[in-house]
Amino acid sequence: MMNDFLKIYPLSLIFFFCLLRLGAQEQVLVETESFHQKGGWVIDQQSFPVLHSSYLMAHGMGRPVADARATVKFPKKGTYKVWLRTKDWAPYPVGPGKFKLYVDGKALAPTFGESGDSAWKWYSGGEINVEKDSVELVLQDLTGFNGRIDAILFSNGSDAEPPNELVALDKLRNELLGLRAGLKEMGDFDLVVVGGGVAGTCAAISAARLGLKVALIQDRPLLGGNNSSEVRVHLMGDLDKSYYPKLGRIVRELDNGDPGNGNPNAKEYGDARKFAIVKAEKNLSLFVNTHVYQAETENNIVKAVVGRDIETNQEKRFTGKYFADCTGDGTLGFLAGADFRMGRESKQETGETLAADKADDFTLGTSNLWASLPVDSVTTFPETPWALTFSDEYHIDEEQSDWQWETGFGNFNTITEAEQIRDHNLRAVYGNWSYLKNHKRDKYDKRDLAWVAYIGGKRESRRLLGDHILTQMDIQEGKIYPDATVTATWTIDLHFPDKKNSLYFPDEEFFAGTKHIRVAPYTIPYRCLYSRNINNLFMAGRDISTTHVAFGSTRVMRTCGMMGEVVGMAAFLAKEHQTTPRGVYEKHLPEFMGMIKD
Amino acid sequence: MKTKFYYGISLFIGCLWLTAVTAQEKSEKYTVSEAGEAYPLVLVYDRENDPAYFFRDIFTPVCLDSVCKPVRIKLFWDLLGNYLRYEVPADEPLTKLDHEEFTPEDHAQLQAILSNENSLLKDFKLEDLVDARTQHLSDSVDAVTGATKNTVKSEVIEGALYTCYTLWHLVHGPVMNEIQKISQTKLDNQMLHRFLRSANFHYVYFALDEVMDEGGVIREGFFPDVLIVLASDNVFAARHVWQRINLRYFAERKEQEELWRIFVHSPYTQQVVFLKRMKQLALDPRVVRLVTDYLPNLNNALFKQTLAVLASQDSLPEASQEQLIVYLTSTDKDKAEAVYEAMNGHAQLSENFNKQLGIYSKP
Ligand SMILES: Cc1cc2nc3c(=O)[nH]c(=O)nc-3n(C[C@H](O)[C@H](O)[C@H](O)COP(=O)(O)OP(=O)(O)OC[C@H]3O[C@@H](n4cnc5c(N)ncnc54)[C@H](O)[C@@H]3O)c2cc1C
Repeated sequence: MMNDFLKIYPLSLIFFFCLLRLGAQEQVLVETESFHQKGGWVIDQQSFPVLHSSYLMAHGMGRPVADARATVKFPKKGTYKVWLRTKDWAPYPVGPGKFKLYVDGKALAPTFGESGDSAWKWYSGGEINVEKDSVELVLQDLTGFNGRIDAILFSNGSDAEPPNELVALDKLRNELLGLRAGLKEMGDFDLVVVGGGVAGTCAAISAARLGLKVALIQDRPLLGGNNSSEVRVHLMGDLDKSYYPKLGRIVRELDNGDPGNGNPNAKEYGDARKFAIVKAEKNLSLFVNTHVYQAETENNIVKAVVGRDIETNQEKRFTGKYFADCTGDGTLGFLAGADFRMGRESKQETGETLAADKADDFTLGTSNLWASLPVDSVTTFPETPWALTFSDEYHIDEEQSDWQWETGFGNFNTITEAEQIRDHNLRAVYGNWSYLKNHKRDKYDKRDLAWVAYIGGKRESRRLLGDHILTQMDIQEGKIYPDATVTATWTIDLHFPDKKNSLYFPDEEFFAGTKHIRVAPYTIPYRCLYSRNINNLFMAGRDISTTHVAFGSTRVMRTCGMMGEVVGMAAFLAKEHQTTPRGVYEKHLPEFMGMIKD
Repeated sequence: MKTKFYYGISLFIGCLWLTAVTAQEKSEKYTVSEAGEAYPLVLVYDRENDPAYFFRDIFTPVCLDSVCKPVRIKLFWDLLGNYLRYEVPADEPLTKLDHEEFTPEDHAQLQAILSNENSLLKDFKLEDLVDARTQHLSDSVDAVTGATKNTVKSEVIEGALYTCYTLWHLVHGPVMNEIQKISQTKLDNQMLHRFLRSANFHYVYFALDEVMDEGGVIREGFFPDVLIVLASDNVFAARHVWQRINLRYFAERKEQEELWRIFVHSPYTQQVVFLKRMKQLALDPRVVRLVTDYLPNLNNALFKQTLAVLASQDSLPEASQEQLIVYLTSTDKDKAEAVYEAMNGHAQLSENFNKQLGIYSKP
């Protein structure tokens, strides 16, 4: 859509358009993620596909976070109307995410974040009088309970509410921030890897070590995805059962030992180790904080991707010969028009005994892990009427979370409702913790929340379809195809809402159960690792070409990492032979397998 | 039996026991036989002379291969056989494999293990645990699932596996059934009234099952108790009642007013539950007024659901209609639209309301 916009309005026209508007009205737009001092506020980009922007959030686990500050230049002095784009994230009936905005030391009259309305909207902040060239803005969090704000707009000359509808809002952002006008070319690469989880990181390292010029684009400040200290999931899947001992070497380098899930010590997850290994690769350029939201394609070939810095909003364009979708969500494939599947297939469709009776949009859920730690003295935690309600009859008597804290299951869409899922997880965590602190004081008086993830750990989103779609039969019959690559060992591990949790929170489950179907080590064909209809697109990680059932086993991170290693090798060969990912399979398979086996 | 010999794991419960003994409360001794062995089970009454709880003194060997050590412990259950707590004599403390005494943390963990009716210990055979222990149970299970590690760890105390296993099966064994049988013989209306007003949710559900039939019809004399459950902190029990209770109890103004009072004081999630069924009630005009008076306190979601309750009424008092009309011209566009959507086409509206609906233009 941005693309169309560019086509219709060449740059000069945008400029003209801006001037025209400025003649009638001055507008200053401040994206809060660009506040130069964040204080204790954090940047959240997880809803970019829905909001087309990142936002700032006060994630203080119930303690107000330090102020965020920005200095904003004004083109003209005078009276401005102030608008804040925000929401009440837990309007049951009124949420806790309250905050104030100070302009040059003076608080605007309204308190924001407590409107009782969960939609993102513009709220009036009244009027200010600008007497200098610039003003100082301060965001003051009042509760530490996830108040959030997307943007602040100052306008003079009109009282009209700013547009809230996406197309108009995009246009406004583009004009006022000069997004497209400031777009930077980041270079031309042999392989552009989008998504820096374990799969993407391994793919980028693997290709770079083979001499390809590689870009690795990650939309968080850290590498590792679910294995980073922002999510804290430990690596599973065995490396030592591999048919090809060569695979897994990069995964081993990244592996920081096993701290379990949700360990309160962030250092256990080896963020620094991952960075160091990536930085050491001379052919690899790492771009963190960059969310890819657009793909330029021609004749089913991706030519370039465009990302936006989640903090500065700098637009960046990357051109490349080959691309790898390691976003987990299958976002690049989706943007490029790749065939994909989301949800469960039916038994009839796949012939899998573990498939659903009817196809549906059920997916495994998303987790926001958390942990508490003992403290020296008695501490308190407020009552949380806006959160899920617990009682003696039902609460979760745990000092730390594990994988079972999970929301989704077809109640919510993991991509378009990522924000709601995260918020539901927070309402479960805070509601339960509040119950424990206030009603189980013997056990919890001297414990405090040490960490609650605000980045959701996603399990299942889109699965991009390749020339082969891995099935339960492939796994259980241990089929070895000629292009057998990665060896996988994890059980078929398909979660469902915990029965008791369903009873107490019907359609609002946040706790999971599973049944592990054991498997013998089996292999994943290379054909699951490239798109069947986008000719230069690879994929690795949880978004590869499998059925929902098979995904239940392929999705663990050591296995995902090995997929990345294979994609790096395939990209190398594809470039060598001037061919496509499919060409590697069709014309150079012996050479490719030789590389994997050697 | 002297109290000072008992190490109470919970101070509060310990006090209860103290009062019980010092006040010389009445108790009854039953003899229960289990697997060919007979043992005494004691029912203790409270000061009001109502049955309060059961206990059993246990002296049992806990064996590992041929090595056995005796464990002396007193186990307590509520009147429905739900485990409450344990006590051990101060001079015969619980010990672990290496003869180390239980620490306060071990006691807390044992209490947690015994309180968990769904413990994994339920399905494990002792042999499985022995085998598993020698193979580092938690590690090997963890190779299969990250979940099980924590679970298994919390099921046993290191070095006291057999104690945990033996006690769990004693606590959750046939004794529960025996207790229920005895309590059944004591069951009368007074006990049911007591149960419905109890903080013990097991009692509440048990009594609800007794006093409310499938059609939600309540045994004579129990409606006030059921209302207490409906208004209680336990949102789950309240929801349970509201989803089942026969709505004929809310046909009259007095009960409707009471219902609305409970609604206003309920947590949000419970309010949502209330509104779902309230649509089926023909509300007294004065209650409709209470509802429309309350509209300004509601967020958009509840506002819409409450409008649905109003829209389902055959007719609305004039004053309530006037209150609704005001929203049509409100600056809050969502509320205006909600009123329009809910009320447009309602058969029994005033002329003015219909006129205003006609004028209203959607944003
Ligand atoms: C709570 C939980 C417990 C789990 N338990 C285990 C376990 O015990 N062991 C195990 O091995 N696996 C486990 N899994 C599964 C495993 O974590 C995932 O399947 C795995 O992370 C997939 O790896 P990935 O690299 O494909 O994706 P991810 O880890 O999801 O990484 C993808 C990365 O791409 C980034 N990204 C997404 N979109 C864009 C974009 N448009 N532009 C730029 N960057 C983007 C994301 O921010 C993310 O960092 C668990 C998952 C969860 C949530």
